[in-house]
Amino acid sequence: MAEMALIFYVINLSVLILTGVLLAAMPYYTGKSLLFGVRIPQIHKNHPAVIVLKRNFSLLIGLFVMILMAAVTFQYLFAPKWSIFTSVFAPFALVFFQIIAYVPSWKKARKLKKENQWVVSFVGSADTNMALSRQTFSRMPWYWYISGFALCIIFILISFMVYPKIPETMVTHWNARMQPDDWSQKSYLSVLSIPMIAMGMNVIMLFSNMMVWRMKLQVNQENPALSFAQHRKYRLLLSHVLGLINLLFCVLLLFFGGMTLELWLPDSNTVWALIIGTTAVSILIPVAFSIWAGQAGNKLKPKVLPEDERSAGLIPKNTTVPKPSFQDDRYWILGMFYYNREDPTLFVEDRFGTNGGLNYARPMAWVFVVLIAGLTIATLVLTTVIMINQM
Amino acid sequence: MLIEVDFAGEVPIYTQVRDQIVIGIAAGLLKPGETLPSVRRLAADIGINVHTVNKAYSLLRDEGFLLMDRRSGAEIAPLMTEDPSFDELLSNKLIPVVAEAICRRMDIEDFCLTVRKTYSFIKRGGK
Repeated sequence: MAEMALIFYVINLSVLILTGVLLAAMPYYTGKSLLFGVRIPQIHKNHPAVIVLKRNFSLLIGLFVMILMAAVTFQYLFAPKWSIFTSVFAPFALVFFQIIAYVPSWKKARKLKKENQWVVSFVGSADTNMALSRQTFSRMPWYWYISGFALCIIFILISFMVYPKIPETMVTHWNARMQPDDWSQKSYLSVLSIPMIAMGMNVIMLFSNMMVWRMKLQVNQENPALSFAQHRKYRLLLSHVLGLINLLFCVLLLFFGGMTLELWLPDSNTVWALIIGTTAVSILIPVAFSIWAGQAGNKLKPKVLPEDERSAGLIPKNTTVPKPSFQDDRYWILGMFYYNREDPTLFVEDRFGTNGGLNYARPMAWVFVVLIAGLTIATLVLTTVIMINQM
Repeated sequence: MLIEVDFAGEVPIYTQVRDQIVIGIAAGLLKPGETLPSVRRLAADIGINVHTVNKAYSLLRDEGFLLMDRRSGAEIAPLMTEDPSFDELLSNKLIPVVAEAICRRMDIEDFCLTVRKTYSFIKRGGK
């Protein structure tokens, strides 16, 4: 038990530090023309007030992370039984703190833009060749998912082959020292549940990867050709990251599946090394990728192909000064939530950070919100109930 | 070709879309037979209402720049043959432009020079 608590403590701390670093660095890898969800002209990216605003946000996040780290340490020392509870709730606390730090920054950014009368032209663009919107799926690295599905199918075939040899009661759970502590009756359902879960994960990950390619293309008007190239490279690299993580978890799940089938029985060190290794890789790679590539790849330096040079300079230049009401800030509630009734897009790039978001004016968006909120609440309630029952 | 729409501009969005497709055809950036994105796709990429794109496409179809097909969507029409009736249409379209040039004291040689420059600029594909 003490060992478990220590492992959880280390995991909790690492998750906090990693997400903390990611959050604190967020204003720096978000696009240069975006300041806390407010669009500003790129030339003002080094304005003293902008620098101060970004720095204060990072410092505040740093402070919050330290408070949470102290709380986690306190829990480890004085209430070691509550480890899982902390693991689930600490990230939520950090998200909550992020909002506390973000909202005032967004307000200040808006004020700054208004006071300095920064105007950004609001231009929407589409590509008729659609190298990035129609042919997108063909650029996706499908092999990650094909290998994932293939592994699951091979595993299912093996399961059927060894099924007669499996003892009537199967081990389905082990404690931290790899001693069996839960069993279930042998049935096709119990044998196939793990490869099925792996398949389901493959489907979900494949879907999120396709979402990446379906995301609305927000071309930076200050350098469209480079922006096109960056988007292309970013989406490809992100697909590789997602595909790799999917495959890693798929292998890990099937490894556990093999244990229930008694195909192999590794010692506890191997199992822990695998779990921690996979988790670490699946956190570290996306964190490193986000910071390195920036929002939608704005830090990447890809080769600009001739196909990226599409803006021929033939577009009649608008001579009137854009009115503030015509800027796209008004579609971003709190600078965070995209709400545009006119826009049929469902997935958009986030304005703060590197994630994608939804167009909340579309009814489909709310289906996602309900699904995700349901899953989150279910996890929280379940963890709490289990913890209380164990007390 | 990249279609850009300026939301802050005075020109209605469907006119901007229509104009840019015509410019694209003139500049050779859009070739006859080339398919355009579906109404929904284009609307989603630019972030405008589907009806706006629909209006631009219908206009282009009526003017003979686009062929619309239920299955294959919108397609750039074959190059037009010379049409004597366009003379009158052109003159009508030019009246406000020429009038403004006259008001701004531009003489006819300079005006024609600008037209020449613009004409070859488009022909060269904007280079």
